[in-house]
Amino acid sequence: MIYRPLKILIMAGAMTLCLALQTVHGAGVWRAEFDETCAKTDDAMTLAIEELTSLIENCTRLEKAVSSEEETVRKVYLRRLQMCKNLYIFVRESKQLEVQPK
Amino acid sequence: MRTILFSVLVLIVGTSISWGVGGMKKRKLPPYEYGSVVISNFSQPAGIPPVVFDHWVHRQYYTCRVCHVDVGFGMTANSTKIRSTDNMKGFFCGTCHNGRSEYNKKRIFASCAKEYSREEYKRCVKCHVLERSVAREEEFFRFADRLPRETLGNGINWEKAEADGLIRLTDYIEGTSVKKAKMKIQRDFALKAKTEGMPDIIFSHNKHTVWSGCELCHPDIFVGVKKGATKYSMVELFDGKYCGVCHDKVAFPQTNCQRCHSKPPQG
Amino acid sequence: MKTLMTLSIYRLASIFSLAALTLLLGCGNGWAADRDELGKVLLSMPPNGPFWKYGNVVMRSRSKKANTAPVVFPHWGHRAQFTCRVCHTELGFSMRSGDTGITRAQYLAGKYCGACHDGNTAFSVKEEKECVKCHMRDTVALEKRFEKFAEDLPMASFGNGIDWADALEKGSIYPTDSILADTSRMQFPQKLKKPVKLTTTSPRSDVTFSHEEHFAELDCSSCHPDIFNIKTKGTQAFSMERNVFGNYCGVCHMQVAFPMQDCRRCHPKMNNGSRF
Repeated sequence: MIYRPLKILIMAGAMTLCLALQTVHGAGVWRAEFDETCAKTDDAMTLAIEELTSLIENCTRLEKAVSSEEETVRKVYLRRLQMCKNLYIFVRESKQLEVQPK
Repeated sequence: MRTILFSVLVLIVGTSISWGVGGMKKRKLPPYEYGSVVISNFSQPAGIPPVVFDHWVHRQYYTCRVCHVDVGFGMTANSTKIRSTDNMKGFFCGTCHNGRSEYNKKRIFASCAKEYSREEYKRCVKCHVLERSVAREEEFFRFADRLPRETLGNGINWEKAEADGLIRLTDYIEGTSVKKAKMKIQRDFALKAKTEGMPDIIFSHNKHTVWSGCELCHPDIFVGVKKGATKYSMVELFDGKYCGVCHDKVAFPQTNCQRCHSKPPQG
Repeated sequence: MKTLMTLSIYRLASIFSLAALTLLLGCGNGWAADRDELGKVLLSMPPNGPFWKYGNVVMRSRSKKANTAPVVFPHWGHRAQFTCRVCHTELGFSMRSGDTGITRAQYLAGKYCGACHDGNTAFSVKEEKECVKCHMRDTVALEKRFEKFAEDLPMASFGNGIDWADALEKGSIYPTDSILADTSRMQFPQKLKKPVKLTTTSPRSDVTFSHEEHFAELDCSSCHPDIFNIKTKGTQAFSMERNVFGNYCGVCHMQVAFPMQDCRRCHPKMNNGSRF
């Protein structure tokens, strides 16, 4: 009888730990992916259309991951992702125009 | 009743005429004030003077890209919506102004404070200034005097200053910037001027990308994908659009016509 | 009783609104100068004022605090040697008084006045005996200088009493266009060689504006885009009254360049009523 609340306490503690770890671990994961995805903006013009499409998809996925972060991180990284993604879209469009007969 | 109505009507018409704009020379910004941005999103409700950010102080150390792409500052005043909590967490101004980072062996002062005390306030007023100080002006002149001169704007030819090695610009901040591959050299191209006889504009893609990167201008400022797709004229530029986003208030001003209209005429 | 009171209230209200109207009209930012300032300008211009006084700028905001005589800067003295561009674009002087914010520390450091008044191009600001040449207590010396200066120059009946355009053409004056070492000026665009026709209420009073003549002395940035919008027909409320009050053309042509009493300089087809 006495152990019941203790069990609940332990479970709650374990759950929060899991959650905390997840966010921390999660932050690490998306940050690394962000670095990788947006590293190619400077030579976006040399990439193929398919690669650009996959990078754009990465950006969209990262946006979702970032939206669950706290306010400041959201403010900064959503903006950076937007710039990164918009550039890739821009470059892809210009490449598509080149490929298409005018 | 009629007299009141009449006088009110005259009042309204009169004020609308008298408040017409144009025809006067705007106040000339002294060289140390050019590039100054007043950031006042949340300072007034917080009871503190707004921040006066001087571009010239930072331009000598960092490229445009570092702050406007990596750190995430917006291109117009008040668009970023920076809070002191953001700064204290190490974002925006706090990326460098955290009391720990150093530049050239000098410690960069921390931005924002947790408590509102007299001691901390001395640090607050470094940015949240109330009025121009002579010391600041003198600091500017001490800095500017050894750099190549230019008319208008800051009076400094920043490009030449970097080319001559008088200033060295950092393009990467550890922990914030993304390590990028070296960029392929972009081609310069000429833009035809609308007014006949006005020399063509030589746009240096190379010079711009080295300092700004690609995502700063594309697609937010220059939307058109195909060259020549977006039609714009000087009127829009003077209004702060396209080239005017930077070359109206921070980079060398557009009033310096020959800086851009530099293609020698043929024949 | 009641009707009397209401009548006076109406009177009061109309007086008040008219007063507010005049105040607002006076301090609206559509006018560069108010009637008072315009009055002072008109009083200093020939035929009301002497030739040597036209175009002189008195700078007294900082000298007053320092208990020194104010600076009297004569435009006529400098116009012969330098074009408008040199000081207003290259050296950074503003065209509005009080705007530049020149301090003693700055000119001693070789900025603004100190850029030429360094002992080589002109007398040095650092020599104590030369202070009184600018910080003058009375204008006697200045007037004498003017007499000698204007002796050989073609006469006019307005402004400084000197026909500057004629002097420039004849070569009596040969102003330098640039003092900075490595500035090359942009070539004058072809399209702007054609004079700009500014229509007025009557074709007889139409103005032909010559870009070429102004480009000889000024820089594009002196007028564009602050004073004149570059959009064709974009300049709004461009009336004579506004000009006289110091807007548009009046920025220069009421205080330094030939004043607007000289109607036919701009309105060539007009029957100039005055005997000048």
